[in-house]
Amino acid sequence: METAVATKEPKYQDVNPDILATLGGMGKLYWASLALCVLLVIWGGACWTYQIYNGMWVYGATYPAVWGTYIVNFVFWVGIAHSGTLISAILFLLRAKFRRAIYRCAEAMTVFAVMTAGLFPVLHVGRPWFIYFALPYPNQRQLWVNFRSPLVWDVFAVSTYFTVSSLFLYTGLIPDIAAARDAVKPGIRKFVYTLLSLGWRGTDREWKHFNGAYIYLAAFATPLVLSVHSVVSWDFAMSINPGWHSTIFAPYFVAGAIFSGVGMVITIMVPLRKMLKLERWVTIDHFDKMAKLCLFTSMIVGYAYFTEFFLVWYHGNEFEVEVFRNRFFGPMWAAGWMMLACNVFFPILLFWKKVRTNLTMLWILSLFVNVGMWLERFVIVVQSLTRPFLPYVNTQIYRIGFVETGIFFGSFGWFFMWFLLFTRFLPIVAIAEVKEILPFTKKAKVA
Amino acid sequence: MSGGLKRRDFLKLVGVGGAGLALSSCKKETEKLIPFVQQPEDIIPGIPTYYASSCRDCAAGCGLVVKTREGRVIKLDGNADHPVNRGGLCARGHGALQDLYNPDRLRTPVKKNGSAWDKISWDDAIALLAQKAKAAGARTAVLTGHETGSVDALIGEWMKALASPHHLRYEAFGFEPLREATRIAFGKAVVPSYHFDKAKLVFSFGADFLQDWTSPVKAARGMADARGGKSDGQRYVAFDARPNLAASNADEHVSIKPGSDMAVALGLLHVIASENLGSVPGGAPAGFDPASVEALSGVKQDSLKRLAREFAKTRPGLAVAGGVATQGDNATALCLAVHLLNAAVGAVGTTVDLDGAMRMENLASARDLVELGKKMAAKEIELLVVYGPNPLYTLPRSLAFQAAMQAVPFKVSFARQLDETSELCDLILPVSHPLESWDDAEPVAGVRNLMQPAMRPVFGSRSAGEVVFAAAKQNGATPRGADFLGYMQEQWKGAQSGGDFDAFWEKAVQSGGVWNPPAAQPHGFAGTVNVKWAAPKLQGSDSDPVLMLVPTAHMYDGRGANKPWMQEVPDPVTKTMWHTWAEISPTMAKKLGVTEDGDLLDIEGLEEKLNVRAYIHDGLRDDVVAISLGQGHTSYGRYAKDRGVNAMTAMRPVMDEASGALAFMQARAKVTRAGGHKKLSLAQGGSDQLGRGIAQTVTIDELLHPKPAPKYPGNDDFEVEGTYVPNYKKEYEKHPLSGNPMMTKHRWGMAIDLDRCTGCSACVTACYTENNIQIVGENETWKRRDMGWIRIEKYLEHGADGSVEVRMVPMACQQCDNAPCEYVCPVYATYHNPEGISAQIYNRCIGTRYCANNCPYRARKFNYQEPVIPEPLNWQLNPDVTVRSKGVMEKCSFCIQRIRVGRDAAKDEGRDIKDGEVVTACAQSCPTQAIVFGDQNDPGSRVSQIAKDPRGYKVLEILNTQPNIHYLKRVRREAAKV
Repeated sequence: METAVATKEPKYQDVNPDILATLGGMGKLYWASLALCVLLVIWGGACWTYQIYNGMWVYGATYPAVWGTYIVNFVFWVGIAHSGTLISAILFLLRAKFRRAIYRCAEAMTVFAVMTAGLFPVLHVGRPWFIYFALPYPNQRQLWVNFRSPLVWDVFAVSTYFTVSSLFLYTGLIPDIAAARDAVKPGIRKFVYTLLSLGWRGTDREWKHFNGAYIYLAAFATPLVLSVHSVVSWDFAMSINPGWHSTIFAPYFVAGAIFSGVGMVITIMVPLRKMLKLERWVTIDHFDKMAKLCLFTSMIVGYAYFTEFFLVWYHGNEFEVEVFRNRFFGPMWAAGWMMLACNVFFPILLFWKKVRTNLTMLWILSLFVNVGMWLERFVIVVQSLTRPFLPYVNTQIYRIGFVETGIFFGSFGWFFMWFLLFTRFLPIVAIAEVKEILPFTKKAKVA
Repeated sequence: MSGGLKRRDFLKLVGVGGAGLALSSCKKETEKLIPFVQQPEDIIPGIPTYYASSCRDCAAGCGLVVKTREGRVIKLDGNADHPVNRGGLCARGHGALQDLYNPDRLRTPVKKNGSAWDKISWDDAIALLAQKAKAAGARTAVLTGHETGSVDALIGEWMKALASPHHLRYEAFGFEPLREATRIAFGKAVVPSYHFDKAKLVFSFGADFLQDWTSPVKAARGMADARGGKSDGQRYVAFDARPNLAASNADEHVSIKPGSDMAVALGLLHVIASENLGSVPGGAPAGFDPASVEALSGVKQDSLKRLAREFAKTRPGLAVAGGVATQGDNATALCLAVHLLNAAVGAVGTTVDLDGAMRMENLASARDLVELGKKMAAKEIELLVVYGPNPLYTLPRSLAFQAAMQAVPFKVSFARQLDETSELCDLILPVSHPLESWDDAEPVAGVRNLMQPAMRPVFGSRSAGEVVFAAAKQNGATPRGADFLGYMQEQWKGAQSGGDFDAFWEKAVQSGGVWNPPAAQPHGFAGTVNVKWAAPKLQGSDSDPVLMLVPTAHMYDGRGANKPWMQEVPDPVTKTMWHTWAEISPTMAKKLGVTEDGDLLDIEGLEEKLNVRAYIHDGLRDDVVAISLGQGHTSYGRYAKDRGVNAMTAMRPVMDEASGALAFMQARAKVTRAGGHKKLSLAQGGSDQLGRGIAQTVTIDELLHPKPAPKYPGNDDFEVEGTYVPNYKKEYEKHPLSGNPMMTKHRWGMAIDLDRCTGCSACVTACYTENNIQIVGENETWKRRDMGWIRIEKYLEHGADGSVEVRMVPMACQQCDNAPCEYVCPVYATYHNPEGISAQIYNRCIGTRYCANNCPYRARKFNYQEPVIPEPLNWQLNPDVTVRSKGVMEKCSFCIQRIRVGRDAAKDEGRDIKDGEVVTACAQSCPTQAIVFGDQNDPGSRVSQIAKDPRGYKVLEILNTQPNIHYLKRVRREAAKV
């Protein structure tokens, strides 16, 4: 069935109506999903309220692993945010054509994932009402932030990334918003589109500036892909904890982030394509390419795991050895092995084209990737901390409470809520860019 | 705390709605300060006043210095001049504060009315007591705890006026067998004072003298002074089935079969006698030749001979026995055997002091109490007054003391909190705490302690002395003096050697008493050895493990249970908190299918089956199961009630016939794995230090011939030539602040001598009291969220022969010069102050907890919750230290508030701070003076001197954190080659 749809050649004149149709009437499934997401957000908010009211004791992070799933989620969501910019900016600069149908989706995902990730530091700290202390704002008390702290770097890295990726997303959207503006009937929607499209008329001059700005932003965003997650990884690498203090962290985290990001794009695209009837625009070929990217990054991640272990074995630092032994043979061994299976072993299946082009299998695999990457952060953040320098304070098991669980699902609700709203109000496939790669129609040739 | 939504909580809720970032007004409500209208003359706000007093928590009678601020007692310290404790104070001693401010203290006298309690006035209550006493006359019985002072004398006069012979003093841990054995051997029924400081060699047979046996603080200090890193220091051999705190500190722990202590002591005597190494009274005990002793105790013949020779030749020696846990029905025989050992090597008069003995001779035995119970049951007693003991908690239920009490028509209790016994009483007169009243005691002959009211009573209570004085007067007694104070002064006139009494009295009050203990005289063995040397009879099948009931450092006989500090500071031996535990060996655990601490065990062997949480005790013998005592209260207050089990009430009424003491070692137990698992709070994670050199030791050989130690133990590959100075340390020295005179004025540091440290955890409690550390409760301690700024880490070293060596190491913030916690804080809530202290600014902290992650010593604690401090426990809070709110980090500050006080005092007098002027709470409290605090920039300071000791090392030096705590290695005194 899939192939039947894909082979039906899309035509130039189909682009606008087809894609703009996604902004129109959403089915029951959409409303049900949105309602579920909103409920999850409310539940997560309630859990947070409970936590603020009672104190952090409701949190599972216990001594000596005083960082827990909030940090895991933070890194997880920042990681998800990565593939967006990778697909939209780096692949744009590399002229990889397959990105065009999917980049909008990936980029929206980036923005919303950063928005989700940004919540977790606030959730994590003991006194969230003073979180603004971490911002370097002028004040009479002459208090300043500590620029030696990787957490301050984080504040800058993540906020820069959020700014740039939102701008990038918006810039790419301008011609499409204009298209939507032209298609809708007068009303509030039209008014908003008019405002957002900044008077776009599609003249040559405008296209020239647009392309210039777009390339500029793409070039600007590209190093951020590498820097943001490097900085996030330095939260760990800059500390002296065994299991954290390692120079491999930056490339390892970036690869992992892209891996998880691509996984999440697949997870989202497969049902979304169905829901929004985009089979003609997002084809199996796109998924095939994505799966290859996934496979590639999985291999980098696997190599990073191997290198980490090799180094530990090679230098034989007793503190590190104990931490790495604990990862797979300690009380939380299951997390370690599942991480390996999900991130390294299962993606091997992607070597087979049959798997890459079978959307059901691909989707299931992408779920494993998401789980595996979450576990990877769990293994790094929590498990490492349970084996500190002084064995007296070792702990065994991390117990996740209902507050954390609620907030975890709440964060998914938050993310998908924005995503679903986005699909309803803005074109999820880049109209202008898709048009660029369509073959000329006969009529056009004659002309 | 009132119910409902408070402003603060409301704001928080609003904050969630998205405005959270903008809300900076979430602060504590400002508390109003109410100034004195007429300021008391001797109270200056902000300046502490000190009073001398003494501790009444156990029979040891340590001297106290009571620190008060603005009229409230906030801290107890040991009295450095006192001959018993010489400045140290144990954990239980600190706990007295939470007795004073206990939220469950009764506010007024109450009278039982059916199942309810009616409040009555003090005058009515005393009148009622006197009226009942008058009616009962000779049928009045008074049961007090260990009382040796004026109250005791006054009760005597009262009883005389009533013509009643029933005046009993009872302690659950009263050392009856030791007293009886001393009477048999030397003709004096006393608990001797033991001078550990004079002994070159100590043998202990199950006596946990660092925790609950006779005078722990004195013993610890004596032992530390005799060891203290000396190459010819005291050697200590423990014969014990269970590694209790004392045995954990032994140089040689001889694991013996439970209950075979006496056999081992006799075996040693046998060798000494048969090899003519000393004069053994009565000669070699028949039937205890080394071969038989090996069969009885499991001690190899060679070891026994070696140890006997060593004991005979190393003089002065000291042998101690008579711990509660090994008190079987042969306890007197055991103590006698050990006395024979002391006599054989001439220790009596040097290390065993019968003249300056502990004044416990008037204590009744458990049998005496049972006799009283019988009289009560036979309705021969009409009025029972209880002041101190809690027999319904400490006596076996089968002795039917409850029924006996119910048979008494009117029962009066002086308890401050409703405990098991007082709940059964008809009238309760909640008397003042010793810190609120005039009182005196004579714990050791010639050592007379004087207690003065250090503050006005918290709840307008009256002191026991006043109550008895008034009652006695109304009953026709004619005590001298106008009131109890007058009576006490009259009593003290006898202690005066002439001169003006007022001056004498003032001096005695100021210094906390008069201490003239007589010098120890040599005493020969005076008795005849006419004892049947029988092993303790143990109920149950021989294949079952022996059940040991062990008192704990913090609970003692149960009196510690309602003090949250005593519950939350980890037990020094097992590191458990808040509950009863049953210790089993790892082998037994495997056999029973116990995989985790906290798995439930059914323990049969006593009269009642006990369901206890398992604690897998590495180092415990396989033929022992040990249950901790002190929990399982059915009353006694919010922290004690319904927590754990009480094995004492479940015991069989077995007695040591010779002394009338209860036999705590009385049965073998059938241990089965009951279904289920309950939380058991444990402070300890790993017990193996994995070769990381955290708690290091040094042998005598190495001490005498020091070799350059590997700098990074366990990391030989990391060895570099010369001194390893990493680049960034050089950078650090170039730092603008390092040349700053502010920076170089003082550099505070600490030295911890592991050869002195016993792991008793007094420092931990002292830190709790000084620094307002919050109590988090059982659920949170189970999650490892206890807040102690200093902890005693316990590591085990397994020998090839199956032996287990225990190493204790106090661990607090190391105040690193190159602190990993400091650079990771995003908001500068922690920084390095110019005097070398890694300071924490609570107001600035947002609680990222990164510092806690990055501290290799894990010395930083996070406030997971708002502290819960019920009235009037908050009266104890140190006003110099912030009470931290939820969400902030905290850690050891080297008692920076004390440094500030010291600096201010020095500045006022225009001089520099003197060495020893500023002392941290932990150092001050340490019974063994293992912790020394001072200025490292002063080359003459004690800490600078100690830091140069060749035993010195720093923990995790490889990380280049440059800690300011110097550790001194423990000296391993291996068996002498005889």
